[in-house]
Amino acid sequence: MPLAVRLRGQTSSELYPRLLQLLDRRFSDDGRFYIVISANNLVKKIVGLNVFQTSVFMLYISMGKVTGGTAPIVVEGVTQYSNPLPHVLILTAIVVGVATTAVGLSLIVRIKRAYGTVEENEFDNKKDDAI
Amino acid sequence: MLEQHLAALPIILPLIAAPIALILGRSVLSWGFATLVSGLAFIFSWQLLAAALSDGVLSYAVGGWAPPWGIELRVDVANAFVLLAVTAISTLVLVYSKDSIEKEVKVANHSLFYTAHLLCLAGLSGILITGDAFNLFVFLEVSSLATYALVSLASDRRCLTAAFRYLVMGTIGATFILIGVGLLYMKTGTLNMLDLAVRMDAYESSRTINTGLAFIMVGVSLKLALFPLHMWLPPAYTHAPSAVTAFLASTATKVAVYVMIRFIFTVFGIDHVFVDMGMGLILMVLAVVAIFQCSYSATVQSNVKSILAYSSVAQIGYMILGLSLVSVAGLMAGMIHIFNHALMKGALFMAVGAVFYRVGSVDIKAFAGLGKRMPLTMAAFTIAGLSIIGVPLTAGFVSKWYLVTAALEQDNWLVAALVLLGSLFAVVYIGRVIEAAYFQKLPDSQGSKNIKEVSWLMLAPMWALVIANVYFGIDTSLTTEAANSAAEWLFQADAMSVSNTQEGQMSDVVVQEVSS
Repeated sequence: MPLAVRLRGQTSSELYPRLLQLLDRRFSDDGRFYIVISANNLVKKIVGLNVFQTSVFMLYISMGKVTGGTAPIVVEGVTQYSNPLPHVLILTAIVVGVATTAVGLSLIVRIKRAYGTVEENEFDNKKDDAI
Repeated sequence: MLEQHLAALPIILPLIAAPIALILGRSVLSWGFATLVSGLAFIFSWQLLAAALSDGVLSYAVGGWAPPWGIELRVDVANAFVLLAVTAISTLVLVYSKDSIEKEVKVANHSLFYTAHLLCLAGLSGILITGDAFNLFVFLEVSSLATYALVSLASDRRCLTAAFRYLVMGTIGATFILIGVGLLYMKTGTLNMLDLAVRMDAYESSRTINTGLAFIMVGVSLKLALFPLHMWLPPAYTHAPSAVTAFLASTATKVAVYVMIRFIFTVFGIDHVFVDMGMGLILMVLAVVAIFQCSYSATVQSNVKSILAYSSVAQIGYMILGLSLVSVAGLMAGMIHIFNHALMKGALFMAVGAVFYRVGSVDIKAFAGLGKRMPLTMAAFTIAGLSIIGVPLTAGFVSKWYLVTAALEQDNWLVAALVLLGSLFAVVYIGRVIEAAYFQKLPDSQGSKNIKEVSWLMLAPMWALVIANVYFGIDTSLTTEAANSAAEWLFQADAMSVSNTQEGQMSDVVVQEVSS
């Protein structure tokens, strides 16, 4: 669900309780953070991590909306613009997220080669893995 | 010209050098190049500390965009002090790593190792120097991603699962910091740390800011491996190549402790964090539990790298304990321990790496009788081990002395007693290794007869750290002076930011410009 659409037309003080609800939801029913902890399959964990990060990107993007403001491109006769800074920040964070996913997936490829499985409970039971 | 951009050099230099180290390709070439770059970064950070001690604060506007609009690099005594330790350890570890990684990393991956090491150094320097909360997150991820790759370079397959676990936990931590910074931005409209501090005063009991504080504290605690969020650390340190462990154990977690100090003292303010939110007691309890639980875990491990990894978590407890005392003396003790612990753990992990190089195992049984076969390595281990315990005339004693003094200053006898009691555990886990090395017989096999001392290339950096341990245990003027002025500066900066409203007005203009 696109966060920015749901939150349109609210001032920042109204935004806050809504966002807290959404934050809350991220950790409960449809929360992807939960997948990171609960999933046994390493690929699923990375997917969960990815969605978890994406929802944080949404949080940032929703912040940029200024009530009644248009896209931040200078146009004559327009005085209200949305704040472009969060979008710029999130571009950076997306790059970081992509890099993390890439490193995570390549680790999974090597784990699959070394252990022959990507299920966490299967390689945890192998004896030499005791710390 | 160079003088003018001095603040940016410790970040830019390794960042540009990292791909060059990869292009060089040959193991020896990349090694020489990476060591040279790291050495230069050390010289620059030495100059930065000197400049910070004489002039106070150096501010550098990246790309010429004035703060708080642009990203600000801000060098003060506190971060220049930690930066000096980080670049020094990085240089020594690089000298050491030439032989060490030949044994532990595939030849094809050698230049990748140096590239990842330089990227990690660039990230760590960035975290230390930046004055921008979002930029801090980016550098945190630059260094962390390089770290995951470094951990996974070992030839033992268990390093892969350890690196994966580290990646998941590290990313959760970083994302929490991102959420926290986002919430602060939502309320204040700024990302510059000083500007954040000024503008936050207007919202004393805002739930958004308190939630932001909670997210940032949990995120940073994950990164610095504060009990009970430390579970990623022991496997990662145990299975990573020895050179990587020596570097990470003495820098990565210390930098995360610095991030916590920076957020508490510069951004949120002592009053808010410790008085309104009561974080002091939470941190103190967690630190004491970390000291005891992880020191105990260290005593029952059989892998020496594991012993030292658990000991690292316990030592982080001492740093956080110093910080949680909320006094100049306590913060100073924490800062001194950040520096001293880097020296001890660097030397210890290097000694263990040397044993692995010759014996091929780091199990405690493999240490039997090594005192005769590898006298210099084991002597280095012993002296650095005494420093961990906190024996007088070593650096470890200095940190514990200041920590106990800081606790007694507040008549907190319980904490002082617990610190001393925690040291007894260190006697046990370091003692076990020393006992094996000096009082047990060398096994009667053909292989053990061929064990001899490692090359000077591994011994020199190890002994440089050991000598530093003894030197800073006797002549404490540099560490205490730098740590003291850093601690005082952090406490003053908190008071100063309240009166410094000019910058706050500056960013008012930004928000208006954007919204109008």
